[in-house]
Amino acid sequence: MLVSTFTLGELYLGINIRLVREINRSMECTPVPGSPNYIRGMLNIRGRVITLFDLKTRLGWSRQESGEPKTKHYNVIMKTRDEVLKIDQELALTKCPWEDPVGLAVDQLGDVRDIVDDNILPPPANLTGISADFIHGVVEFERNLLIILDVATVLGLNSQASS
Amino acid sequence: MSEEDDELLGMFVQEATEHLETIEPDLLTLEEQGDNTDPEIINRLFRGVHSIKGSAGFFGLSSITKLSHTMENLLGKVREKSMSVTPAVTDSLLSGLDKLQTMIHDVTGSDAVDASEQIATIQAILEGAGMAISPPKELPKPAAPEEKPAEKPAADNGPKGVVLTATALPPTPPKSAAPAGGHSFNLENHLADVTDAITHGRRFYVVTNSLPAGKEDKVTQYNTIKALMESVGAIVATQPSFDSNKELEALSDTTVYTLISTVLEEDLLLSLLQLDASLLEKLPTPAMPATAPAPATAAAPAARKPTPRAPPADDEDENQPPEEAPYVPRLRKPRQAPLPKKSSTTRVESSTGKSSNPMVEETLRVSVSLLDELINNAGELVLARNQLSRAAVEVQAKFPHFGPLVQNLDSITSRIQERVMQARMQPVSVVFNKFPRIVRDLAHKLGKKIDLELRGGDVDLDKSVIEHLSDPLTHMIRNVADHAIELPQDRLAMHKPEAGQVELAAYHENGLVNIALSDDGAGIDAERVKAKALERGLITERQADTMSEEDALDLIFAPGFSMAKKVSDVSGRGVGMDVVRTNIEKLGGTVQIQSKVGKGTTITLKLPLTLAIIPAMIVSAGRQRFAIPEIGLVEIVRVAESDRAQQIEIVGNAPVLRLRNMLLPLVDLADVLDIPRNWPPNSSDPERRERLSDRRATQKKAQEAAFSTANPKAGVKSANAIKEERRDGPNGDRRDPNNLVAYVMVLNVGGNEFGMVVDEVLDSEEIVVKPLPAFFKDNPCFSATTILGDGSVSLIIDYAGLMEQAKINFSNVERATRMDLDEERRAALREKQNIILLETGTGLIMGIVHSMVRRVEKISPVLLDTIGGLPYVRYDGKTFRAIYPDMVMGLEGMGLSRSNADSDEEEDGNLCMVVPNIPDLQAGLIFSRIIDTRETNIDLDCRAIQAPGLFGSAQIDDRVVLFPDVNAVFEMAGIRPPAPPPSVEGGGFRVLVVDDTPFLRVLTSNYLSSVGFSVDQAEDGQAAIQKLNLGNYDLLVTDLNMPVMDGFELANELNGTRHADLPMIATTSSISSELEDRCLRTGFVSCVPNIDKNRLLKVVSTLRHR
Repeated sequence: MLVSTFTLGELYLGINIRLVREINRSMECTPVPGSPNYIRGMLNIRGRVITLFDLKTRLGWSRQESGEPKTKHYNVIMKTRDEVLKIDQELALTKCPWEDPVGLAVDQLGDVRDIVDDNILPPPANLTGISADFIHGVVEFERNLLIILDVATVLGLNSQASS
Repeated sequence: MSEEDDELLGMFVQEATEHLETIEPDLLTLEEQGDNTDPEIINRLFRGVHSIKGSAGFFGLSSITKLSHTMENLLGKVREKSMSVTPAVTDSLLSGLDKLQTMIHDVTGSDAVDASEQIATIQAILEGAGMAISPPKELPKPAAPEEKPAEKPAADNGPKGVVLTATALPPTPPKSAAPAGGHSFNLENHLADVTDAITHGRRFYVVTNSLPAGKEDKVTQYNTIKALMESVGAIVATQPSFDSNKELEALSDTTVYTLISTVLEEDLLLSLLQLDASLLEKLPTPAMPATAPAPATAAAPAARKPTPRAPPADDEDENQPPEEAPYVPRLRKPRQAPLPKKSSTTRVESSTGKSSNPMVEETLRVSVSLLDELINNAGELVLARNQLSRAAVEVQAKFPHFGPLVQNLDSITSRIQERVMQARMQPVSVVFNKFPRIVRDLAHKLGKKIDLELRGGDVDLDKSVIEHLSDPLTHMIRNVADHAIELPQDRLAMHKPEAGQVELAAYHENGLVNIALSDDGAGIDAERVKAKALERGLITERQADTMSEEDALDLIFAPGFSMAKKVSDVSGRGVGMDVVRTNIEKLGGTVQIQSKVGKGTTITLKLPLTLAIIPAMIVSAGRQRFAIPEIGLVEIVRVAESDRAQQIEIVGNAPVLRLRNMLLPLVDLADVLDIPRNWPPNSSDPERRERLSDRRATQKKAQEAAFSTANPKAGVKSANAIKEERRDGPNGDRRDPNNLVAYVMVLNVGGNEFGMVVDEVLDSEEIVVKPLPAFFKDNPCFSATTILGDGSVSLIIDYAGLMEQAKINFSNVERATRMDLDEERRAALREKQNIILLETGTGLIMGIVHSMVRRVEKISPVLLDTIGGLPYVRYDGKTFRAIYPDMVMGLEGMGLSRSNADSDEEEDGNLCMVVPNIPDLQAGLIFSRIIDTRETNIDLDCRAIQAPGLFGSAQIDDRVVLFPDVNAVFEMAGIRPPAPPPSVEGGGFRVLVVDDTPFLRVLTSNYLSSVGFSVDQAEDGQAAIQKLNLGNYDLLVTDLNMPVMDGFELANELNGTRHADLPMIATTSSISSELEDRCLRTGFVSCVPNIDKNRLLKVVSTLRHR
């Protein structure tokens, strides 16, 4: 499967590219009062209102771990369930429970990687910076560990999600 | 393949649904007009049912086919006028229609639906009618093929006559007109049939049947075919002719030609009869009686006039270029007829174009999601246009032609957006059209007669509004049918038309769409509503007394309210009008009700045209912008620094805005949403900060801010100072009136108003509403999102949710607390009293303290009666003793201070009756008019003017105002309250009366001194304690609301001193059970209304007996 990769601090993360709609530079975001702290707010991308999740906060990083808040970041905009349904029914039904457009704020963009499903391993126990709940699996890649995110859990849509 | 089928099936459902939509109103028309129904309507009915049947047959939907077939048969009879339209007929058809609707709604499950009952009913009618059919006045006798057709002479080819020749052998297609040896019918021999057929838009066909040679088989097969043919039309004649099965048996021919007449198109007929095209031959329908044959299309509306029409047929045909292929004399190719589906729809259109029935425009189906996407993009286009316009200013300097280009783009963009929005609009008739049926059914069920008139069905509303309108309207209509419209006999007795007149109208007003449902029924009795509401504990007695009629009617929208005397299955369960209001308010609309007892009721819904675009105010709170829908926004109050102290008060711990005569609870938007107010130091908009500091800063800082206009840095400093100040203060600090200066948006939620404090009002914009992402659905404060002109996302505030979040709750109990706010406010006003100034018939001005008045009624002099020498007023079903205070007090001659200017004011001849706040007293003081109500200090002078029953006088606006002792006046007039005053002997006892209002203090003191007490007075709790400490008292009577130290504080203060055993009575201007409880807890003996002499004395008397 093709994986769109990006970094978050020291972490090397990836998301199944079929779930990704587009990637933007940071842009103005309207905070939503009363929402959880890991939701940065809402973006307008070509007339669509997109809920932006702050991935670092979602993973429970403290302020120091997150580094300077001013750093430029990127928004990984996910496809909606309906959009995924059109290209991959199974994926939509198993991995894409969100109906509204959402985005994840990340630090840096990486390449698109092709990985073999068989190489996906369960997360090692000593992984820091991210809870195993949020991980679909890991792949070793050029001595880097590529962590494939379980987006549904990140968005708080999986029942087993710990939040 | 299966997908294709699905698609086809989908088309069938859509089409069938459309048919059903026209069938229903047509059936209702049929029911109403009976045998006089326009034949075109019957034809349309027939065709509608028919095409459903046809298509259903194609899909093998046997249940639908069967039912529609049966209905069609019945309609066929009706059309042929061989059966008159009775209620039984229409009832059965309507019930069949319902079944059809159910089945078509769930097509795939339709075969499982049991329609046997409907079929049986219709069948029974058909059979009954078959027997009852009398010798024909009408010519075609569909059920009587045995009738012998006139002898047919051999073919003759008169130029006008039509010779119909069927080919002899089935395989030969009847293309050529050659009378090839077969048998020929001559329509001239069936003139009567032809006349009839033309008036009914029927055509003639010849069906060729090859029958087996065996006698039995021949008969059986022919009869099968015959039955089939009869189901679609009428058999005119056969060749060879035979009268009975016997004769048929005896025939040697195995080929039988049958001449039938039917409205059906050729290919439809083919499919129904399951015939090969070669076996069916269409005969040109001759024009009557002797002109050239012309195709009289079934739908030509004019051709449907009941009277057989002859020569005009030509013109008609010219006016109506038939959809059919050009006329070919004599025989025609079977395939020339257009497709039945297509033609049938076109017909509906062409015919409806002339009738008053719903117009069907040429339309295209577009999915809503596509439309939404278009709207989205149109919105984006607008944004892009805005950005371009901004950029254009610079570019234009270099390229002068650029400006016009942008302008052009600008106007095109606006038009596109407007049009795209229109695409979502639907006429309200989509909802309206189902009501005739509902009303009819309800009327039947309830044994009432109701005429429903629909108006303004072409008014367009957004799809989303339309969708949510159906339920509330249905509910309202049910209510009208159930409660409002009286039974026919009752209506006649009241000289109303037997049938209730109900009108449902839609119209535009002030940019909103109004939908008004009015009836001429019983109306709603506001008093009964009040009584009901009291009974259900929705309001307090005090509220009921002061409530205006309008407010009382509004109560029917309260949750849990039902006026129905008994629960019926139509309505009356108490879930209803509140749901109506909630639903309408969800749509951003409002509900109003007006009613006159005995005359009828009008409920008006005011709805926005669309939910997709709404007018909104853009405001800021903290540093964030929000959209506030303008619907529900009553007004915006700017609270300026200088007026702040007067306008905003803290009651309890909550800020309230004093606005005219109301106290509005205030909600600070930023507080509720918990938005930090501090500005980031690097905020990019110093000007804005300055403005903010202008408003926010305390006096001292305001100067600093003023200085900062010259020095931006100082402005920043000032803002920071505020920031610090805010940080310093705890949460509650913001509620401090010193900081609470801004704009107050006065909002109305379900009839309750509250104020929402925002920092700035930025703009008024038409915003495009976009749904709130699911992640925020839990937050009650927001209803949706929108994208502002600069492209940023903004949240739309949900008032009701915001109130909920802010814990402002206006349920019925809270209405009372809101009134108590007024009470507290009165306390805040200290010495001031609300006085009603009235003028007597003799020109005296009298003042009555508002709290002593239960209500003031305008009465017409005609309601005054003299009974037994005493004046009485009939009012509100009760009789009130009328008292003229000036006469009673012997002051009528004084004519003090009537000014000329006043006498010019509206003299409508009506009188005023003041009903005092004394329980169970049915008497009122009569004045000629109300001059004013005034909130003022009363400096009561008890000496200048003295008269029995008069407290004293005071000067208000340079006029002398007399203050009567209402109790005394009634006593002097010989009116005793139902319970005689208890005899109290106060001689030798000392009582201390504490009240901050001199007037009430005097009043209470008078009551007590009149029974012998020696009375001392004090103006507040502190003064009372001083007096108590100086002397010995046997009783303390104190007001509760007082400055310095109020009644409760006084009671607490005394507790534990030597006065702890002193009996205490509380007086108050408004009594409630909570207040009474609190009094008892605090140690008062009782709590009495401060002008109720009897009650006070009664309480005192109980003390004496201890």
